[in-house]
Amino acid sequence: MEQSVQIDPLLRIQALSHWYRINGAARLVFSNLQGELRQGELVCLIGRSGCGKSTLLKVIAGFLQPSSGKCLLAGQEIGDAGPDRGVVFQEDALFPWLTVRENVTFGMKANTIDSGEVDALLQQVGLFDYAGQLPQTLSGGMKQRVALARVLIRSPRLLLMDEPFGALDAQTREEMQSLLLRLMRDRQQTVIFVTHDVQEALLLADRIWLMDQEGGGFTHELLVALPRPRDPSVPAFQEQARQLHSWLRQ
Amino acid sequence: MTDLSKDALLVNEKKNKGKRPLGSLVLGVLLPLLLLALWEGISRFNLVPAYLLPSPEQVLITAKSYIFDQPGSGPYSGRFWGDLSASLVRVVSGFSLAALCAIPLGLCSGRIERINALLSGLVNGLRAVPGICWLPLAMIWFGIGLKTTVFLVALAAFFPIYQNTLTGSALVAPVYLQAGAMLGVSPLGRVFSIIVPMAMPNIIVGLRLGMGIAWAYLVLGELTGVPDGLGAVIMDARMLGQTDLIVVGIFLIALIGKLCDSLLVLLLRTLFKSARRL
Ligand SMILES: Nc1ncnc2c1ncn2[C@@H]1O[C@H](COP(=O)(O)OP(=O)(O)OP(=O)(O)O)[C@@H](O)[C@H]1O
Ligand SMILES: [Mg+2]
Repeated sequence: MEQSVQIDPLLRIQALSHWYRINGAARLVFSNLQGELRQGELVCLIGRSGCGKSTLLKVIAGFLQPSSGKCLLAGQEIGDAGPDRGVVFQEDALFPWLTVRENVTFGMKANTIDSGEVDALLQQVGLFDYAGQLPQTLSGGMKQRVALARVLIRSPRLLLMDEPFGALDAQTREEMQSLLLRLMRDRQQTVIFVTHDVQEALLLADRIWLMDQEGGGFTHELLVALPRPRDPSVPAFQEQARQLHSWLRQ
Repeated sequence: MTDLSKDALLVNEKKNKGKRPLGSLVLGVLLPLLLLALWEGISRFNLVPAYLLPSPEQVLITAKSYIFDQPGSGPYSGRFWGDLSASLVRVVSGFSLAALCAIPLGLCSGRIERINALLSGLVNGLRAVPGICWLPLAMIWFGIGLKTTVFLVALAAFFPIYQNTLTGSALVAPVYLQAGAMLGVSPLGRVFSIIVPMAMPNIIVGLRLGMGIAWAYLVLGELTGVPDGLGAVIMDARMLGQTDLIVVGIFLIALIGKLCDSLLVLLLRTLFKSARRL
């Protein structure tokens, strides 16, 4: 009891349900979700296509009002979208008329921009030499790194990533995964990472939440206690992968 | 052949964005030069009497006198600059009035379904009325001169600007607005920092169409008997049977219309980053 007070969760999802209204009829996406996320944790959200992963992320981000239940961020009920919850979208959502650097500092007041910090961040994501270029001249992986940089510059309490590497080739994907892990370790960043790739979830996550198809809650939770950097060829990794696959097939 | 079809089907990404290769410049002046040669031939061999079609040489002489001669040395000598400034004032005020109304209204209609429903009936109804129909009414309301012309120009330029702004702002994908909200931009701030730049390609199309129409309606407004302006000169010249001056007027209006279009694009590119990527 005492201990749970000490490590208060950063995010608490309480009895969260959502249904969309389509032509007057309600269509349930998920119901009665419960979950907690501690500071510095990386949780992967995994589930079949259409099970409601993006919907949950939109609710937490503040783009969508949940039908019932609530989310508490550091004890406060979440409100409208804001820079405390950074989102990396699945699709390209960079502003096409702005350079890489302008995209990163978009919406910031000129006197609050620390250009040294921007430079350092661009260095970290390997885009310093591209700072003056427009998004249309970048590859898919580079665009997602800009998208990551523009939320990290605002030091969000929570980072929400919706299948951010889904459109990348295997090689680039691996590079992005190690970049993400490096940044997380340096910043003690709390992350919810949506994926439908079992291997990606096991490589990244401290914990994995499995989401059910049929309007249910989280059906399973898997603690991934493997040491980092993780090696997909070790038996413990493969054992957990088998476990996840069998849950997903149910 | 293969080059042409590749370009036409847009498989190849444009190589010289913004820069036109020399070849297409040559192609661009080919037809005008041919027409000029034909015109010269017709007047050289007197195929058409000069009072119907003056020779290119005569047109050049008239143009030179109209533009460069000392005012007073002939009936139309040196009047060009006065006419130009009168016409420019009318076009620019009418066009600005149209843009000032059409862009905000287009943005509201594009983003707010209720406002669109409210406005669309009226706007589409008015658009169906040919602009010329307004001329008699405008003359009764505003008399002959600046006000009538500005009214006609503004009315005609309004529709393409409004419609294109509406389309462009309605097409802004929600993900960009979500990104803006997530990055801490206020709802009103999102209008100016996201919706307008995203809709900029359409807004520019609307403004350029509007500018073209503005010149057409300028001439219409000036045909009603105002004393100055490029349209008025054409009308005067008709009454005096000075075909050469009519031709000069037509050329000058075409030239200045094109110049206005280029200046408009240049201005937008200077003012807005989002206009530069086109
Ligand atoms: N705006 C909407 N209006 C109505 N129904 C929607 C809307 N957005 C999503 N849905 C429905 O809600 C369900 C969950 O969608 P969601 O996008 O959250 O799935 P997902 O788990 O992210 O899928 P994927 O892995 O394919 O991205 C789907 O069945 C979808 O049809
Ligand atoms: Mg999704």
